[in-house]
Formats: sequence, C-alpha cells, structure tokens
Amino acid sequence: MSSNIIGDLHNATKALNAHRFGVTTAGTNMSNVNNPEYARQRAILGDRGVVNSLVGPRGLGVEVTGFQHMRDAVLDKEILRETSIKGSLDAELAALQKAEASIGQQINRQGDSAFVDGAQTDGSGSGGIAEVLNDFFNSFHSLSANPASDAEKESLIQKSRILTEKLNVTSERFTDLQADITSEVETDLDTANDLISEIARLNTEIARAEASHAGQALSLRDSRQARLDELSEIMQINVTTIDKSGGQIKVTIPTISGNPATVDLVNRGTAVTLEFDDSVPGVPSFNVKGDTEALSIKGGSIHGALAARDGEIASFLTGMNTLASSLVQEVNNIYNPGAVAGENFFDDSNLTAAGISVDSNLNSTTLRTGAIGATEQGDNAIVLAIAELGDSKLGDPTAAGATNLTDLGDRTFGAFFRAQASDLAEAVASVESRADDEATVFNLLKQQRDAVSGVSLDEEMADMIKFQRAYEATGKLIRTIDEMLDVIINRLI
Amino acid sequence: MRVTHNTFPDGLIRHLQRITTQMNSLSEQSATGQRITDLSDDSAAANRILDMQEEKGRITQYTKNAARADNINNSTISQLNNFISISDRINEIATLANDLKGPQGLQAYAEEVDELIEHAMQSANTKFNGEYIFHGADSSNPPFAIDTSGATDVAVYSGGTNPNEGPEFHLSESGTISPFTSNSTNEKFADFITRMIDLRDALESGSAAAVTNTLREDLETSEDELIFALSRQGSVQMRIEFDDGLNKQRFTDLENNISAEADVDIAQTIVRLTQIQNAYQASLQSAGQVLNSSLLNYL
Repeated sequence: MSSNIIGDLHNATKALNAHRFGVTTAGTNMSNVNNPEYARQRAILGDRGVVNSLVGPRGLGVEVTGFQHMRDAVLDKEILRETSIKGSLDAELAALQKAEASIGQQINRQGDSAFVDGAQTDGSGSGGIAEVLNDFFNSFHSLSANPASDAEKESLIQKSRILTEKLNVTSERFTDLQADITSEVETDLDTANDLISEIARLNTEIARAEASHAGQALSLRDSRQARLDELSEIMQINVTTIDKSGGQIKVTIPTISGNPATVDLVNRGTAVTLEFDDSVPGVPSFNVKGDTEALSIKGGSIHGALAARDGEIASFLTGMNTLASSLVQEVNNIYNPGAVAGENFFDDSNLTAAGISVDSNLNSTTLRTGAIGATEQGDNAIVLAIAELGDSKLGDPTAAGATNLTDLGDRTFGAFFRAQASDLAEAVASVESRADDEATVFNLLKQQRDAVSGVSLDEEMADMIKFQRAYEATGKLIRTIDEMLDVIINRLI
Repeated sequence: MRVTHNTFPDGLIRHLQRITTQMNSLSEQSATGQRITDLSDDSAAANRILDMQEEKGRITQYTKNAARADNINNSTISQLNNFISISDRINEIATLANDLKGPQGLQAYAEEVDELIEHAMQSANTKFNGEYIFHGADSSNPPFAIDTSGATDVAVYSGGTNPNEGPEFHLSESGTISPFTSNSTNEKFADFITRMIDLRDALESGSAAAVTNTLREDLETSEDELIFALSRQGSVQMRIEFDDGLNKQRFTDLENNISAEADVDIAQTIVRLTQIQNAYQASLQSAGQVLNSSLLNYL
C-alpha cells in the first residue's frame, strides 16, 4: 500500500512497530542478563513485500518476521552429557570426602619428637585408628615389661577401650554416612520425578504456543532446557526432538537388559515416575513405576553417590569389620585359648567394628598376664604373646604352617588399617583429579554456550540505540508525511 | 570468541577460586610445616608416614622397656656386688679361722658371719618397685628363707616352689631379654648362704678343725658362681645398651625419613605463597578495572 502517501504513512507505522520490537528485545535481553536459563533473542526484521507502482516496484516497508533464539543445539547436547558426568563425579567426591573425614585419620607432626629421649608413646599423630591401634599393642609391650604393675594394667584397659570405642564410632559414622547417601539419592529421585513431570508439561505448552508460530515459544524452551540441565545433573538422559510435534522432545534412559534398549521418561506430554529399590544391599535398582524393567543410571548425582556408597565406603566398612573380628579372635585365642566362659579379653558375642568391646568382666584386677589359674604376678607369657601379635602378619589361615585364625592379607593389624585408609584416600584423590578435569571441560563448554547464548550489555545497548535512532528517524518520516498531508489537505484548496 | 556480560565475572570467579584454593593450601602448609595433612593429599606417602610413625611409637615403647630393664639390671648388679663383698669377707674369715685364734676368737668370727648372713639374706630378698628381683616370675613372695626345722639351718630358695623364670620382654622387634637372674643362679645364692651358715656353725663350735677344707672350697665355688652371675648381668647390660643405641639411631633415621616425606620447605612455600598473593592482587585489580567500565559509562 505504498503507491500513495497514505500507504507510505502505513509503511512508516509498520517500521515504527518493528523498531519498537528491536528496542524491547534489547530490553528483554538486558533484563535477563543474569538469568542463567536465558538465551538471548534477536528480532528478525524483514521486508513486507514488493508491489508494482506507476514508478516501478516498490517495497512495502519493514516488519518483525519473528525472533531468533540464540542457541546451539549441539552445545546444549554436549552440556547435558558433561553435566551428568560432572554431577556424578561431584556427588562421588562429596561422599568420599565425608568418608575420609569420618575416618578421623590425618598426618599430624605436631607431637613428633626428633629424639627418642623426649618422645611419648602416645604423643604423636592425630589420634586416629592407626595411633590407637599402635597404642593398644604398645600397652601390651609395656605391661610385658612390668606385669605386676596395676598402673600398666589400668593403662592397657583404657587403651583397649579407646581402641574399641574408636572402631565403634568410625563404624557408626560410616553406617550413618551410607544412610545419608541413600536419603540423598531418594531426595534426588523425587526431584528427578518432579523435573520429568515439568518437562512433559513444558512440552505440551510449547506445542500449544508454537501451533501457529513454530520455534517462537522462546522462554518456554529456555525453561525446558534448564529443566533438562537439572535432570542431567541427577541422571544421564538422552534427548531427541520429535518430528512434526510442534517442538516437543522425548527423554529416554537406557535399560540394563538392553531389551528394550531404552525407556521413555518423557514422550510429548506423557511423563513417568521413577522408583528406587534398595532392598538388596549393594545392588540398588531403578525402574519406572508399574514396570519391572531395571534402568541403567550411568551418570548424574545418583550414580556418583551410589558408586561411593557401594564402592569405597562399603569396602572400608567391610575392612573395619575384618579388622575388628580379627582383633577379637586373635587376641582372645591367646588370652583365653581354651575359650573358658568369662575369661575373654574382648567380648566375642559381636565381631563387628560397630559392636567390638572389651569383655565386661575385664578390669585391672581381673586382667591376667599369665594363663588362667597362674598366680605368679611376674608371669607375662600372655601379654608378651599379644604384644608380639601386633607385629605378626596374618595371612591365609588355611595355608600350610599358618598359626593365625584370620586373614588380613598377610599384613599386620596396623598395615591392614593403613591399606584400608590409603585405598579410600586414593579414591578421594583419584575422583578429585577426575572432577577437576571434568570441571575444565564443563567450563569450556559453558563458556562456548555463553559465547553463543549469553547477553552482552554493550551489544544490547548498541542495539537499543540503533533501534531507538531508527524509531526516531521513522517518527521524523511520519511527521514529514504528516506535513505533506497538511499541504495536500489544508493548503492546496 | 564472543565475550558477554557474564564472561568476565564467571572467569574471575573461577580464577579467584583456583587462586584462593592454592593460597589456602600454601598457608596451611606454612602454618603446619607439613606437605601432607589429609591422607588424600598423597595417599602413598601418608601410608608410609603412618607406618614410620607406628615404628617410632614402638621404638619409644622399647626404649621405655629398656629403661626398666636397665633399672632392674642395675639393682641386680648392685646386690650381686654386695654378695661378692660378703663372699670376699667370708672367704677371708674361712682362711683366718685357725687354732691360733682360740675358741673365743673363732666365736667372734661366728658373730661376724652371722651378721653377714643377715646382710646376704637382705640382699637376696631385695625388692625393686615392690617386687622381689631374685624370684623369677613369682615376684610377690620372698624368695629366700632359712629353714631351721632340721638338724642344721639351711637357706632355701622359693620355699620349695618352682617359679617360672623372670619375665622376658622386647627391647627391639627382633628379640627379647630378661634382666632377671635365672632360677638356677638364684639357687646358687641359697647354696652360698647355706655354706655361710655352715661356716658360722663351725666357728661357733670353737674348733678350727670344724672349718674344713671342703667348706673352704665350697665357699670359693660360691664366689666363682657369684662372679659368673655378675658377669652374666654385665652382658645383659651390654645388650640393653646396644639395643638402646640401635633404637635411638633408628628413631632418628625414621624422623629424617618422615620429615622428607611430610615436611615442606618453608622458604619455598613462602615464596610460592607470595607469588600466589601477587597473582591474587593482580587478578582483583584487573577485574576491577575491566568490570568497572562498559558502554553505559559513555552513553
């Protein structure tokens, strides 16, 4: 309609509208500058068409043909994958770091003496299991040198109680930690189920909003991508776009059996609920409610937390139970070889780290340094043998010539504990290193996404001025056309 | 790469996080003097350090045991020296006892021997820290008594019981030592005291002939046995000192090894800390300048 002056006025009005969208888009971008879910938008201006006039073809002016969503689909997919890996490593690291703290074993040189003359037998170290275990056997050595001393006997009883309490507390901490991790996984799964429902709901809304304007439900798409990011942090998912569905997506997760290969978590507007079965210790299982097919959760915080719980943490706890059970059996075997009731050193009714305790009958008066019935107060046969147990390597009891009852992998009690603690510490260091590497990859991808989707205030300000000036210029054009119309309407006649 | 509004602050946060982590680690190392605190800082080295600290603890215990062995041995040696002094005088009296001294002179010697018997009994029943040191494992009961029930008095060891040998204990991982005299040695003390009683009785009779050559020879045998016992305790002393010396050397070696594994070079750590602090300041300053200005300042 630009073949006459009224048509020009109409075109100018359209242009005014287009520039206004330019300014408001820049404003929207700027207002979302710190919104991590947001991907910047661009108003796409296009020619409204061409008409033939008396003076030849003429344009119909400019208009907003749509809004461009500045997203890179490949980057979004890569970030989903890396988010899962990072989520898994972060959760595993957090659990293992708590486990390392729960051991209560550090390297502490503050009490170390450079010379033996000023050294204390229990003055160095951090007071962890390594030290109290050593103190326990040293107390037997000390009593073997002075078997009649009540003070040495009292000290031995105290050191034994400190050791058993330390094992009890450590075991309790680890059991609590496992329960906390389980609870964390359950909370994460609840969150995942909420996210799955939310993604399905957003799918429906996007399809509805884009029925007439394909790809234009930008803020809904931002929200859905953010929910996918959050879900990836909890578990690894696969996302595919459903063709001719109005922008809807399908979220799947692989199965353990591979038949079917995957199970849909979200398909268009349909969502499922995931369930967690932890009834078999060490073998957690996930399935869709109403379906028994076991799901394979490979990444995300759920995978990482369970890997720590059923891996190193369970292994350390098993190690502590082996240590406690070996300690009870080996010490009692020397202290009370005939297994006479009421004559044990350790209570043999509970062989776990959680339950190990000094026999209730044992005190500095009843503590024997010799065999049952021996009356000589200088007899140290039993305490010397137990002291020497501290330096004995306990290997396979079924091997030829073996005299021990239990198997510490051909290690002493101290070496066995150190191996358990080192294994856990090594796992912490290894996961920490992998998490650092993963953070580098993740940050690079985030930077790349930021480079594509992030808002630059400088750019938006420049855009705003650009559209503002265009708006002003268009306004001037309208005023000019108005003046021209004034001439035609008011002055010609 | 396109730089956006969040590129700088995000990068700044990451850099500052990395720098402050390093600063925290170096600051902790400077404060503790240790390279490793948590086991995961270096699990292999931590395992070795704990192993060496355990050995240091054990050596400290062995050193305490050595001190006790030394005290018991010194008391034993001291009493054995007493026995030998008594034996010297007893042998002298046995040699001096002849008819020239007359019955009264011999009876005066008998009085002196009687005193020496009392003295020897006291030494034989010596206690250390409330325990009898010449009674093997049965350290709560007096080991020696004089049996007056027979025709002649006799010194008896352990009242007829047969105690276990005195306790052995570790001064090093490889072997044990007992600073106590053996039962057979203790029985020799009883023999010596019995021979002293025989000498006293012979002198009391007032007849020099009663002090027979056999008795003199028996007393000399006892003296030899006492000297042998003393020499055995001397070799125990040598072993205690040897083990103690080895323990001290091993302790110092372990301390050096632990230090090499666990301790930081303070000068190097402080220099690195200063470097990191400079980087921290530079990072803050540059970020302050960059973040302070944008197109907004010029519109």
